[in-house]
Amino acid sequence: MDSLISKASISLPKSLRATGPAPENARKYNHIANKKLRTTLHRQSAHTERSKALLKDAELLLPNEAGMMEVEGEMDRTWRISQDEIARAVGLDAARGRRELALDGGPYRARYTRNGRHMAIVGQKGHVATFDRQTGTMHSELQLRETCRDITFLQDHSHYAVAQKKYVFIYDRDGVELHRLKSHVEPTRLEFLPFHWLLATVGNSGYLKYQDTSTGQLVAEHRTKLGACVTMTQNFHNAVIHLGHQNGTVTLWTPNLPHPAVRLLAHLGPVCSVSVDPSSGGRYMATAGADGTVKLWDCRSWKEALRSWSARGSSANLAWSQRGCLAVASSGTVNVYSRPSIHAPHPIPSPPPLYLTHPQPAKPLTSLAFCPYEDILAIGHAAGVSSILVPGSGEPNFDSAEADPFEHAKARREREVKSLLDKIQPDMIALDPEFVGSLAPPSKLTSGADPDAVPFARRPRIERLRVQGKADETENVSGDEDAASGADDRAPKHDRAEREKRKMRGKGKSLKRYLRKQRKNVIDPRAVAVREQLAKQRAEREKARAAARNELQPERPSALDRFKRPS
Amino acid sequence: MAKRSKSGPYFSASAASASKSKQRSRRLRGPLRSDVYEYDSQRIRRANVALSLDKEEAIEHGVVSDDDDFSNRRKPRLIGETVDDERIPSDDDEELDSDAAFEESDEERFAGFTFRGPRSKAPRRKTAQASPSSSQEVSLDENEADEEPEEGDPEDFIDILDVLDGRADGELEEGQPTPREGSRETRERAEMSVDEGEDDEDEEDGDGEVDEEEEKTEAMSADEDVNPNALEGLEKFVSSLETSKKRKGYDGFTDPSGPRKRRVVEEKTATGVEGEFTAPTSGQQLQLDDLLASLASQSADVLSLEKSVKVLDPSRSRGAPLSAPLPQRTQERLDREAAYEETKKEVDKWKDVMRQIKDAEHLSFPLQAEPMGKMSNLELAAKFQPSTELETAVDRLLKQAQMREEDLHKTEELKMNHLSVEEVAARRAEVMKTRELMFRAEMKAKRVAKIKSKTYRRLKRRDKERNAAKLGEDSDSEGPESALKRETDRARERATLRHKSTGKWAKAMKRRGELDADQRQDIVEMLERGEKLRKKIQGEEDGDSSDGDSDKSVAALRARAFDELAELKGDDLAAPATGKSKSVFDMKFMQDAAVREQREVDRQVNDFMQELQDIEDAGDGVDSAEASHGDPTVAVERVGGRLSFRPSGVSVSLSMTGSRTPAPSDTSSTTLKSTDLLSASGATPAMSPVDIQTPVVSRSLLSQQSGSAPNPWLTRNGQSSLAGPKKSEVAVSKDSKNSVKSKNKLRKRQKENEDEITKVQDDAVLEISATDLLARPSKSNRQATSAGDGSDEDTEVEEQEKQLKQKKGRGTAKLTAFKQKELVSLAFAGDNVVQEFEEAKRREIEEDAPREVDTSLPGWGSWGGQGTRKAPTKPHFIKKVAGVDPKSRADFGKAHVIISEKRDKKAAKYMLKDLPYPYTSKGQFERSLETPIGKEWNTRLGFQRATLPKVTKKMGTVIKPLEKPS
Repeated sequence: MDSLISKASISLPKSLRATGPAPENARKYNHIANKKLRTTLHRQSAHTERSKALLKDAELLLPNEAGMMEVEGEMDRTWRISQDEIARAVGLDAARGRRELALDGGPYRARYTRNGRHMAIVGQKGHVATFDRQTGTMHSELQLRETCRDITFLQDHSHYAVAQKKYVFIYDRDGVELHRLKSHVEPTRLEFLPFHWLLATVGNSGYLKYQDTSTGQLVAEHRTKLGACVTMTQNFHNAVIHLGHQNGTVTLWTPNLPHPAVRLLAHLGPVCSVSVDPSSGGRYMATAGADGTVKLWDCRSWKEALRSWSARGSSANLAWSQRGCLAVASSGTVNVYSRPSIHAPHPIPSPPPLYLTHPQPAKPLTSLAFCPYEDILAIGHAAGVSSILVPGSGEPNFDSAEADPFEHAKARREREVKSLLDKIQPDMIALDPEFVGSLAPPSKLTSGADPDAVPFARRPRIERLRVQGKADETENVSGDEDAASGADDRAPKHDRAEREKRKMRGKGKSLKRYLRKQRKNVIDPRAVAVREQLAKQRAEREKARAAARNELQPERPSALDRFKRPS
Repeated sequence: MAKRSKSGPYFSASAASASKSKQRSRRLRGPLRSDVYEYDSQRIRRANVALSLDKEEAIEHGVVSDDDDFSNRRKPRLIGETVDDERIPSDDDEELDSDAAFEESDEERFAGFTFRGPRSKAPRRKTAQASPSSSQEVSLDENEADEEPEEGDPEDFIDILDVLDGRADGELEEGQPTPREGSRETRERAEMSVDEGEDDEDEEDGDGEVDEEEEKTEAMSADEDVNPNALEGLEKFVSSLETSKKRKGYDGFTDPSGPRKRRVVEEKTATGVEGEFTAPTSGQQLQLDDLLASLASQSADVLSLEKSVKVLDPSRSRGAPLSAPLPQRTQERLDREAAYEETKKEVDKWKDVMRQIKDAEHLSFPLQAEPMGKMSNLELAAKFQPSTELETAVDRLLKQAQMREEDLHKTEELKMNHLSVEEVAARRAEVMKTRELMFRAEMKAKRVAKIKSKTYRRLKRRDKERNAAKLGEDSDSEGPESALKRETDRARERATLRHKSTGKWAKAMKRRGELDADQRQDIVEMLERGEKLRKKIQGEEDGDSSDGDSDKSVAALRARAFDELAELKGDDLAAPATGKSKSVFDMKFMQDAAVREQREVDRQVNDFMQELQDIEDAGDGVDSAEASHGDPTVAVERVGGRLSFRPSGVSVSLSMTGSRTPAPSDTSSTTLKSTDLLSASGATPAMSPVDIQTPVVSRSLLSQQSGSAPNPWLTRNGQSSLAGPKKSEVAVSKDSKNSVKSKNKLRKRQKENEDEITKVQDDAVLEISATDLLARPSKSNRQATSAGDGSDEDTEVEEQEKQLKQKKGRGTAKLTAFKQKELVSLAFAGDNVVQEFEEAKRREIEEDAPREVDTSLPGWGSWGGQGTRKAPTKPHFIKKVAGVDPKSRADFGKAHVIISEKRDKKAAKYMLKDLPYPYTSKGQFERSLETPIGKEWNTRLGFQRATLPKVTKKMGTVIKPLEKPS
């Protein structure tokens, strides 16, 4: 009988059908007995592999490649190349990135928007300016005539916040004051978490405050208990705020926890600067202390510093670029270290190979900011802001859905609405950003209670499966290791009888048990016959196997054979 | 089949089935032919039922009524008749179907009837099966089929039948052979399948009553089909018993054929009165079955009623007592089992389908494909069956004319038969070629029709016109209609103002500025036309009126002019010769005057011709000169040249743009703005009177350009200065290679900006001298820069160089690093940072660690006083607080870090507490979350694939249930 249903109706649409054969590196689940689950898992793994392959294919579409400075001879060094030479070598458009803004009004700090198009600068004496970096058009310029410590753009260049003498103020693009955030007292540093729409501030009072800029609520307020704080950065990967304190510790904060998630004793003196590498998924953190050392940390293992070296001069400023170039500005020089070597663990305290250096005479150098999607590093210093070219520092391909340097007004508006709709709740900030929707890790709490005392029905499903022998034990995810070992300890206890006993609710009812027992004692001639048959077959199989292994000697006919019953 | 065998043991299944089918066919034929006889016989048969029952009753009870006597009396006569007819050959016998021979009435009769004395039916059958006599019969059958007299005892049959036959006329009517004949026939059939017959008997024995019921229902349903008003039949029969006797003679033993039956009908109509309530004339008692038979139409009710009645009816039961019914529960169980089997069978049909649906990754409704679209014409034609009258008529006509599809093929083949193979091939090739050509032409026409290009259309139109003109040249003087047409054309031209630059289109073109070649061409054309018309108005039609596109046309014009002149000459001569009418022109003085005039004209013509000849020579010379001047490829275009001859052409100034003019190529677009005309670029001869104008135009253009669209290269710096004019910031571009150049530039700009700067000085922003800033980086030498103001300005480079050197002799670097560390530790020695941190960590660990709290109250539950030992607190007073074991902490063994182990309560709501259902391990579940779904992280295909719903359907479609699997 040919099928009643048309083939097209039960198969995928033609456009979505997999063209090639199933990817061979897809995980196999042949050991799973449950057919439905097996099919689901196979489909799932195949889809995973396919979408990975598709993504890989799509990488072909990325138009630009990241380049670095490379030397020809072995004796040559990239750091010997000066900015002039770079500016001469690169294209005219790229060379425009090399700028010197000579300003007075104290040491300056500079920030870029997420798409790298706009720039905001603030001088300590109150000079604030925002402008379009590409066209050179000024959005706003303010003379606030009070101490200004930091500036940051909010969701885009249409709003920016300035940390002024007493409070944080929010201005719009044209420099009109919109809000005065009175709850943020004497702010020193500002950070904006773009996906959560949170403005995080830390001040001289040592309070870390989160303000939701979409709803206006003060989401969280944490007392650091570590005094005034002048060092703050965010981990773009998980939106955790890193603070550097006077006592040499670096603390990691989320809005959820009233205490730091991690406290790290990084330096002996005060911490001057902290920066997190966006290229490695927030894995590496660099800290610079007043003791003049720069240290690199692995934020996953929190082992000893990967590498540490002493920068010349006392307090360095740090910044990671999108592609993992670390810029260290200290005492009139800006040194840039590039990627493969900077991440390599190095026990001996020595600086990594230098990629680029640039002398900046106007001390002190107060801020460093890499321009996203450009090979530009903006240096804020006492005499204004200067920007230098660091080849290979910026991401060459921008994602227009994420941050488009060339977006027009309408696109900006649309993106703003969309990002508001996609806003992530502040609760979701944690050290591991992928925890949402995942299985809760087993609690580390060790209560005195015996885990076996928990009745079967009240145990978590995974344990019930384990007891029943249905759990897939072949999967040993590294995180699950200890749980599995715990199960192994208990394993001998659960013999077959117990497994049967605990198999299902209602299984152990007295009547059923009784019936089972009854069943055992019945001698059924049919069952007996079947059993005999099975035994016979088994014996034959054994025999065959033995014959196959040439272990079985052909039976010699014996004299007693004549007494054998013909079977 | 079973019922047949009941009446006689020799009946075989095949015979029975054959007979049955025969009967069925007759039934089918019945209504078609509307055979009244059949109809009648059925009725009679039904009537039989009642009668037979009567008889049985009578026999069983031993009460022989008068009627019985009457029938008995009549019986010998019947047999006599049958005996007479028994001479009929056996062929005829065979034709009679056994169905007709043995009706259900018989069965019913025989069912209750004991043939030989008190012997019951069942034992009789047993003997038939088991007795040697029966086996003998079988063997006899095999050996000698014709031995009738010995076998069995037909006499016996006859006798008994005689007894019965008083009311057996119905069956005889049907063409019933005598039982003996029947038996013989059955024996013959039995030869083929004896076993079957025996089987049947067995079956019947087992079935008993049930079979009888079945028979009944069969009979009823059969009757129902053919004979809806059975009651009437019954009554009729009852009333017309006498006539039926007569009929016996005809129908019982001859071939049942049409005319005879009709005769029967006539007879029948003559008989008694029809009516529902007519009393039976024969005086026989009406039985229950008779009544029930009338209700046969409501078969279901009747069946149930009959069933219930039958139990009561002693004649139905075979004397044996009814077996006790099964207990209700058992009966129900059996029913359920049977029903379950049926249901299972039915459901199992869907199993495959359901499995497919369950297994499918994706379902798109409708699941069953719709029949594909409409039928094609061919298909329709192939399947066509004429149904209506008209269609049949048309079909017949077509058939007669042999015009149907297959006939056409046939005729074609017939024609082909006369031809040789080559001829056929040639013909086919020819046909193919024609078809191919036609197809191509069609395709080309389609393609051409689709072209939207105006240029193409124009060219096409012009081509057409030219062709038309070529044709028209021959037929130029053909008649007044062409002249008329030309006139209308001209009038239209003038009316539409196509030639003036004041038209809507021309204005629009003027406003547009930049033009491509086509548009320019259009404008030129327009202006040309205007000019032409103007000339016409001025009366210069003859001179240059033609397009002058080519020399050839000019020559043609000239020739035409000569022709005209010649005509003029000849015409005047011919005209008076032809004119014979009596008009004023015929008068003498008029003719004289005409002659005079003619002479004058001739002279003028001659003069003119002479003149023309001269001009022609001169014109040729000019042409050749022009050709020598201009580009040979573009010499055809003579717009400029013609203009130059114009006396008043200055007003319409023409710019002669081209490769030789010094003006930039873009000027053409701007000249349109200032002047009415423009020429096609590149088609200009060098000698143009307007050349003087071009430099002016180009200059103005240059200035305009610089005014409106600034050169980005030139103005970038200016713009940047515009960006922040008030500020003191100075943009330094480092593109300049040598410092001197840049310095000069900067100085210049400084001078320019000085005024500005002085203006802005109110802002009191310090000007950082740009020269200073520039001076340092512009020096390409590194050594030079190192000698700057700050002592540590470029020491990084120096230090690196130093380190490079040191690499050869190692050790020192390490030493310096060590020194540094020591120094630092010394510098921050007083801060106790490390100790504080350690303390904090210890506290944290202690806080988190599991601990036991003693909740016992001092003084309670224990003795005080001297000499008492402090008993340990009872375990239920010790409260255990769960905590994190210090060794299982994430920061265990890492002195420099404290990782909080406290639970993040707010985040806990985003996590799953337990493994979700289908997954059997954490890894499986985590892998399911591994691939992101959103389109930001996927390609389009991956995204669509991941988010495809399990079931899709088109909006608004009705989802029909699945068609049943066959």
